[in-house]
Amino acid sequence: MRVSSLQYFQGNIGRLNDLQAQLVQLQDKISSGVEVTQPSDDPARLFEGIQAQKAIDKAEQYNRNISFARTQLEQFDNMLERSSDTTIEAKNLLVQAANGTLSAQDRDVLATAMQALRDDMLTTVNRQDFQGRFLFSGKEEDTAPFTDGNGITALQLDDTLTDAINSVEVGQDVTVKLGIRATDAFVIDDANGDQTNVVAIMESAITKLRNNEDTTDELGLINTVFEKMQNARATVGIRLGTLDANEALNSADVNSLSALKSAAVDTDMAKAISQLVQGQTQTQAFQQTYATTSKLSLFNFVA
Amino acid sequence: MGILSTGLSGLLNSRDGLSVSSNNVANANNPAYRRQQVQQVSQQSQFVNGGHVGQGVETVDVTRITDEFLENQILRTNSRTNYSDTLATQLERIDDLFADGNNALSESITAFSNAAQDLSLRPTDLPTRQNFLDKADFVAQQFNSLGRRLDDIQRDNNSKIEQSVADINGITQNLATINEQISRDITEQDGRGLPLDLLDQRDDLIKQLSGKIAIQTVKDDQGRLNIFMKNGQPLVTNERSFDLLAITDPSDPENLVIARESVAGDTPVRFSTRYLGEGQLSALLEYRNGPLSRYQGTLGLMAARFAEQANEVQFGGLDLNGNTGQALFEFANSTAVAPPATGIDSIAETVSAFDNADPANVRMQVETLNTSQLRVPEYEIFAVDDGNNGIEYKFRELGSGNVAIPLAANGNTFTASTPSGLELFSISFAGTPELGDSFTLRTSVNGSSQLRFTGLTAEDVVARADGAPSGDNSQAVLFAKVADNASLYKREDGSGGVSIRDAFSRMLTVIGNDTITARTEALASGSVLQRLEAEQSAVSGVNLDEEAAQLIKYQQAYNANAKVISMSQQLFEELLSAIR
Repeated sequence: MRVSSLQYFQGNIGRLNDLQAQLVQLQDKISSGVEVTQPSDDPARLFEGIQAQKAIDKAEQYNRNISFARTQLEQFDNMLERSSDTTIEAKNLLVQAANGTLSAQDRDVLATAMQALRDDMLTTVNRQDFQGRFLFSGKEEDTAPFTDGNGITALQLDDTLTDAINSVEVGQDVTVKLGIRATDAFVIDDANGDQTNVVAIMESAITKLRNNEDTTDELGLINTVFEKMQNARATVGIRLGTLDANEALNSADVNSLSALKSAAVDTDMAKAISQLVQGQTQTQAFQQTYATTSKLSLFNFVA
Repeated sequence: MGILSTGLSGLLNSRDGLSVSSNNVANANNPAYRRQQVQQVSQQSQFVNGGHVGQGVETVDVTRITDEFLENQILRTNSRTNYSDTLATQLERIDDLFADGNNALSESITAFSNAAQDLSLRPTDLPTRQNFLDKADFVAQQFNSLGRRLDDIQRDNNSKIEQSVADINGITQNLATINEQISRDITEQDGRGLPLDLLDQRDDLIKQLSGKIAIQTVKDDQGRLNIFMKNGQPLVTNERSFDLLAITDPSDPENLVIARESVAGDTPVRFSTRYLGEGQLSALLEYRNGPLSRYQGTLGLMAARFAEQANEVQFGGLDLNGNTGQALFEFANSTAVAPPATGIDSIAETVSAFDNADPANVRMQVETLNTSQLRVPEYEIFAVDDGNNGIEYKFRELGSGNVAIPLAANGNTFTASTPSGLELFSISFAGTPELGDSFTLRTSVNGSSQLRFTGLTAEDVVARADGAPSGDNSQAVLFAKVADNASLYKREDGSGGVSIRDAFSRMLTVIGNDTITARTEALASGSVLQRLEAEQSAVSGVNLDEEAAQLIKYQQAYNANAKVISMSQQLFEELLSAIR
């Protein structure tokens, strides 16, 4: 085939440009560590990378939710522990009070001790967080669970409310309730089916002790409410366990998804470097042959 | 005497050969140049004493070496290559826009969802509420930024269209002038001795023109080349060129359309893109009406859906002060932001077909859009005969070729619905369309650039459901799901669908694939063009080694002929001395 001189030079320059462009692209991939940077690099791999990143973002948000929920639930655990301790002490007092040999004066002493426990208990159940929100009020965070007025302490929360505690997502389709409402830990029904609560029971015991009356009923009620508190603590413990399990799961997800994302969009270094070396060799060989053959011209021999 | 004139003819012919070869050497690097050759014939012989004796050689012509078939193939392939090159280059600009690390939009959507999650943890906390609002504003800004950059690309595309039209006009004007010169040369020299340099120039201009627009050429008997567009409209006839015009679409000020000066000199003739064939100009026009508009629409649809869903959450609950929520997002230029309307209709654009009876004054308007049901960003609406001497309106997805479905009329409002009866959009008309009129509805082309955060304050954020206690987080939880709900592209019965986030990833995949397809086509037709040009260059290009050989050949011939002349002088002197 006949080859024109212009075509010979232009073709060679074009090929040299192509080779250099390939080298630049490879160097770029190697230095950035990312192979798929824009949609046209590889739409399918980019899509995979985005989907993986989306799942990573989600798992990381779940874990942020978990650490918030853990702090929150640990507060509940502490408060329930404290209320349990107080209840045990109250129970001990009432067991002592059941002793038939006690004098009215002895019972008065017990009443005074019980009064201190009652005050302590009211503080615990009406506990507010640092922003003034009532811990045991659920969504009614501005309302104190119990009155602290004169007379018998009573529940102030709406006990007909369903779904009264906020939940938080801690995993795909896994939600955990962020707390315990007073109704689920401190409120029970008495023998007549009337609503009462741990503070009210203690107040009733104080009155009876001061009047030197029998407190067997209060001891029974205290036992019942103590059980309810323990159930609530167990619930909190189970939720904390759920948090731990999901945190581990989410972290494992983040790891495997990051690997997936990396496989999708990151540069395969071994491959890229060997391509670079191959490209360099090719370019060099081309430059050498070009430099040699381009010197060939009949005009060198025209006198 | 014969020997002298024969030698002289050879001498002159060799000199012509040297001149032509030198000219070839001089033009070796001129891509428009076709190598030239001396055409020689032997001079008429003389009958002497029973035999014909040759009388030397004569240069009859200098010709260009070309292959007309190849040249025509190159013109066609050049149109196609420029078409796919332009399309690929323009698509690559959008591809670059969505390069990694530039995905601020999906980051902002993630940030919004995270802020909503945080809001669900502390629904009444003011700093958390403020952070949520900041992230809502961030999302709007990112939609705006992408939308504006696509708008910039569109404007830049428009100026490229104008430039391409100006280039075409410049080339056709030059071609008309060259036609005139060639025709004059030919007339003056009785049809002999074509001006080769002008032919080279003209071929080069025609090749440039073929890159801009698909053309057909017809040569006349005076060497002039008449040039026509694909639909037969003339660009150059004899010594006159006809300018193309890029004029603003009367129904869409953002859009340019192509028209041609009328031969008779009256109003310009507009024509549809498909008559332009391939080439740079039609690629620019198709890019604007095709991929660019589709991406703008898809992004706009996402923005609209995002805004609508977030506003629904706001309207469905109570703010910190116990009042019903207000809109979190609105659209610039929208007329209503109060619940439940969010001014969604303002994101749409309508275009009247250029061949409508009165495209500038009879306009289609959008009344409502059901953004979750729309399957494509663009629809076309036709005014057809209802079989009862009246007009009925039908619609279909733009460019789909599906059977058009009638719109339900209610006064001056016409509603398009899915076969299951779910509303897609409704429209009305300013002015009365005539039979045969058609309109394009770009449902959401402005959605992305016009999305705005309404500027609510922290107290205005709705975190709790209507009727729930103040610490409730039900609505906050809904905010967190806005980007992940299957809220777009629902099936015609309203089921299924795609989330905003997935719609965005899918859009990136589409952009990537569109770019790859265009690039592959550009490469393929580019390599065909390269091969043809190599073939053409093999026929018409200058090879320096060959010319060196030619120079040596003619130099030797020149020497030999000079020798013949000096020999004839010797013979003559010998004859003279014999007589003396």
